[in-house]
Amino acid sequence: MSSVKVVTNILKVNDELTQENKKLMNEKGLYVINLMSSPGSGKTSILEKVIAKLKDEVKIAVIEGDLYTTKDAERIEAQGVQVVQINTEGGCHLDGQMIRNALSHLNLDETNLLVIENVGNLICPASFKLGEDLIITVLSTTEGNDKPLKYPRMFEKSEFVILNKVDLVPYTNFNKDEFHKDIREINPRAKVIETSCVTGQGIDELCSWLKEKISISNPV
Amino acid sequence: MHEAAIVESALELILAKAEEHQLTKIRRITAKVGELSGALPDAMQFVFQNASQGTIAEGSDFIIEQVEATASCGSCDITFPILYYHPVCPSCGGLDNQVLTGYELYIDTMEGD
Ligand SMILES: [Zn+2]
Repeated sequence: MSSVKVVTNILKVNDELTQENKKLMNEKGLYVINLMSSPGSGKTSILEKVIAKLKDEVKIAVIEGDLYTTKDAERIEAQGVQVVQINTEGGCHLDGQMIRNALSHLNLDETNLLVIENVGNLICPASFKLGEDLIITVLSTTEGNDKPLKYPRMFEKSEFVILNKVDLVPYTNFNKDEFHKDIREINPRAKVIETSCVTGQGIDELCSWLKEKISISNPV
Repeated sequence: MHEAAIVESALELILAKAEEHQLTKIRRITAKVGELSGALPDAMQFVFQNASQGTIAEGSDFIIEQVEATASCGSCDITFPILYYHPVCPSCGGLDNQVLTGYELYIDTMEGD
């Protein structure tokens, strides 16, 4: 019988792959966003709106993570930007290997901003780094304001937190004051923005935040 | 689901280490899993028992040690347990604290022949 001191992070393989991906992303001067949410939060709708506003100024590519379908990727493709679909076949998050495959299908010389739309799931994606510069988590008002406290990890890691479907607040029991208070407790540094893809609220503000972020990382 | 991915990675790591140390049978594995890691020990255990079948880790004791979540407050110079994910300092009520433990997710030791 022999005893081995291992002391190795279980997600090491992912971290190593991600570091390699990050190197490539840096070489190509990409600004990378990891966009996370629960299913049905409306993050694809937000992304559509953002792309429509920014695509003339910024060269955008999207990696679309989905459990089984290509629906979201088709919506993004209709915006006229590069998109690669990753079907995780039931897998609950994107990882370094999937991103590596996806990157090989994109023309990175023609890209400034890479948005990785993660699988809709508030738990697992938070554990897998993808080489992002910015983490954005989307929550919608129809999901209830208890979600940040139930799944704090994702909110804790996010620099931007988007509260979507604010137009529906009158029809839900969503408590915005509690939501803002909880986010401040979990992550005092997070910028919180309220959006609605129906009324367009918050989309301009979100786009200017993003432009500011991209220009800081890639000064012209 | 999440535990499945984690245990798969863990098993890959364990089998690679076993090969490196020329083990042909793994008897015991210890893992450290923090309360904030998002992985549930029971679910990991269940996945491990299934995923390890047919490997040299089949039938081994997979021991998961949960690590308590703690944080420290810079203003008060104290360390305190994080309850329900809230790193709120019990002394001053401050929120901007340093998380010390709780995110662990690693294989600590293994034994075999
Ligand atoms: Zn304090």
